[in-house]
Amino acid sequence: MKLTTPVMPGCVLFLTLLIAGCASTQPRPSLYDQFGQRAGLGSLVDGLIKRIHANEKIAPLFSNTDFALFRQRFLEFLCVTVDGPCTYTGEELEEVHTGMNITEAEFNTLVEDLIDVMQELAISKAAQNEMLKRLAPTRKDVIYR
Amino acid sequence: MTRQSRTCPARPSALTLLASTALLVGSGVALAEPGGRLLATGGGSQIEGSAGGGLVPWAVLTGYATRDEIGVTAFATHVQVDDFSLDSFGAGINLKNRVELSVARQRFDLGEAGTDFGMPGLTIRQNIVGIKVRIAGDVIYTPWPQLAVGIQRKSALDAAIPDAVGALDHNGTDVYVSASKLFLGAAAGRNLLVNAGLRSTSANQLGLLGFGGDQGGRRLVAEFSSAILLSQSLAVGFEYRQKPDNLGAAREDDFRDLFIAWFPNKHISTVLAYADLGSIANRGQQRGWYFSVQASP
Repeated sequence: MKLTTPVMPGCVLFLTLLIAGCASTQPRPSLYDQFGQRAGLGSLVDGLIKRIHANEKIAPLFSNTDFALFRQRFLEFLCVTVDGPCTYTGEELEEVHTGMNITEAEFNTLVEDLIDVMQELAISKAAQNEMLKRLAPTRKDVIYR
Repeated sequence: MTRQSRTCPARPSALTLLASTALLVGSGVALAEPGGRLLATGGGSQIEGSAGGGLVPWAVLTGYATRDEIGVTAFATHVQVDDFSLDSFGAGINLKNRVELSVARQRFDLGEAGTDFGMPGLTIRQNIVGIKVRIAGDVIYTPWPQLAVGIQRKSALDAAIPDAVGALDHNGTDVYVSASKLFLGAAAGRNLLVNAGLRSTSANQLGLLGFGGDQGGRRLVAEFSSAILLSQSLAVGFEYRQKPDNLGAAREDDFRDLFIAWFPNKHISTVLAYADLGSIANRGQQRGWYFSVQASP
């Protein structure tokens, strides 16, 4: 490769500065704390349920849902996801979603709603992305079942 | 006598088309979502019409269609470097997030530099037909990267300059493989997109100066790009594209750029870049701006 001009090192420096600029030097609170513990996660699930009802693209998927139970189970699930002191008492994700035939688009719609609620609750970008990173592998257990 | 196009009086109206689409979108006319994939995962349209950043194709397919959907996109790109400009416009279709078909027309304006070849105001046009197939993976959801293979078939419409600089062919085929992966939260909590590709090509300056030459023919070149998503709709990054250097009469360099991409919604994606295209047709250090808009109904 003909790297005669200093653009590439420039790029790397540029990106490094960008990353360094965002990095915090203080010790981070746990992810569970960043989501406001149980109460914060409760607000998150409530916000999501509100959006599910309002979103015609996915509301029909929940027509038979017992939302009191859904709230409890989903809160537990998210709490475990962020390493909180909880136990998930629901069924395996695969079982829960079998027969629903949730599409990729419907799954992404819920993800978009989740991101909107996290944004609304002023969860930091880093915490949001960590949550999404931990939830991403569950997609295979949820869609087209 | 080979065909030469001087300055075209009636410029193709890709920009007009895009502007009207943008107006339509902006004016609140209710359009369905272009597809069910997440924002920004369709990238933009790269210079040859395939889904990607600016110079480099990504493994993602154009627009937002999922495995259940079909989507279409149209794009227009303008590049202005020191001595030349390049316009590229075209369209793509995404068939169930498995196959992408694309067409593009490039128009390379030599401007003053045309006098170097005794043809001031000369333009060189080429058509590109592309196909890209997603082989495996999902750029976000699978632990392994999204993988795609693609072909870009390029045909020159104006062969005088390729002939003058000693190109062996007016038409050529690029074959590439590309891998893309979004690492969630990997850059100080922000999402990091990494793309790497390999291309087999004999194209001189993307094919605008023909294919092959006295210094060689087909070879394998590497392409790389990376971006940090500052938010869901805004990314900054860089690209690097290795190129063959087949013409003794017109040395060429690798392409590189720094870019910012903005995805205001799923209907529009825009890419602004500062590009260093190196030596082109014996004019050294060609640097300047790249701007591209993609629209999806």
